[in-house]
Amino acid sequence: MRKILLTSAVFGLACAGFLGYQAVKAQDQELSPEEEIRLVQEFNRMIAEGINPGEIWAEIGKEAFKKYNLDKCDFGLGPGKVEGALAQLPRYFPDAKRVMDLETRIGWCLQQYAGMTPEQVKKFVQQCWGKSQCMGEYDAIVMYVSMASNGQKFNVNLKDPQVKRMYEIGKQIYYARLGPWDFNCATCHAGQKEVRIRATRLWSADRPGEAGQAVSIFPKYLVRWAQPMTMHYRYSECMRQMRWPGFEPHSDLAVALSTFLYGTANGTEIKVPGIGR
Amino acid sequence: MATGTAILRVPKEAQKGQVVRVQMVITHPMTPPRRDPQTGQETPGYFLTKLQLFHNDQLVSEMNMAAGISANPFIALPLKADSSGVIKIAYEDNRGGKWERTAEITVK
Repeated sequence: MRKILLTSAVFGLACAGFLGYQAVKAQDQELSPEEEIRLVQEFNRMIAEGINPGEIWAEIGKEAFKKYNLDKCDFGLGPGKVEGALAQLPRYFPDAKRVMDLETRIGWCLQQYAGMTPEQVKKFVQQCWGKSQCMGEYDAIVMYVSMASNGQKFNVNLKDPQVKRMYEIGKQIYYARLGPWDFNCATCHAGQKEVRIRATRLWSADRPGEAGQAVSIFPKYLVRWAQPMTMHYRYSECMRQMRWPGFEPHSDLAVALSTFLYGTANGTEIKVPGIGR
Repeated sequence: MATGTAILRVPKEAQKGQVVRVQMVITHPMTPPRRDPQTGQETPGYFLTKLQLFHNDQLVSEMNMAAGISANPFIALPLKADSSGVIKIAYEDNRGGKWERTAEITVK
């Protein structure tokens, strides 16, 4: 897959006419890690200027949004209004009597307006988990709703006591050591020292602004899977890697983590979709 | 979206002689041919082979592709804008699929 990615990077560079010489040179010889990281960052920068393949999902999502009667769904700004919805979530919803983030709210609306049972919703959410090149409607709906808030800044109301309570719970989950390997989120995503998994530099909660940069690009398109990854899928993958017990999408655990992350990210501009390896 | 559809993006207006970027994302799985080491089962490849860029029905550039390119490829090609008109991309894959996509550009 590294070869394919590098080929795409080389390909993009050559087409655009930038750095053609380095690109050809890179193909011929074995790369040092620093050189590889630089090439990947160059590739990410160039694709950020162009069209993100995640926009394909936004077009599918626009149709699926109407198909599942989600134009009746209230994201906190009125029924069917999606512009700026992501910026003010998670929040407390009196009709559901709980704090909800974007994906939990979509799941609740699917039960209310599309006539799905909780089991069907779970199956609908997980239809693309563990696959590649899958064009799921759930990912598409999340992508469509998130992209409508592009350019706005996160503004989670942490003065609301219900949201504040969830924020504190999320903070405890973030620093709770669990599972057979005694991992917590902060094992990788905290501290001043730079942590890497292969060539990917991980964000840290202790370095200012990095939590915002990390969550403001979700759902993001992953080149290695050729499909987007939503926030709850990201939690699930992280918890699988930490050997935590099985993750339930749209659970209160996920909402608490979302409240902590989006609350920390307050003031960051939303740039959906992002891109990753 | 089905296989073969594309998002094609060109700047709406350009100065005469300016080099613009014709950007596109083509929806395609781009699977390489593969033989399973355990079962010996062979999967044939499915990928784009050719991409042509036309400006007012005149061939500007042509690109050959193979299985080494990522799924849903993002491609950017430079084009010197001399006159207003239609920009067309035509692409085909190894199973006989042929598609076209057009966009318009105004040159001042």
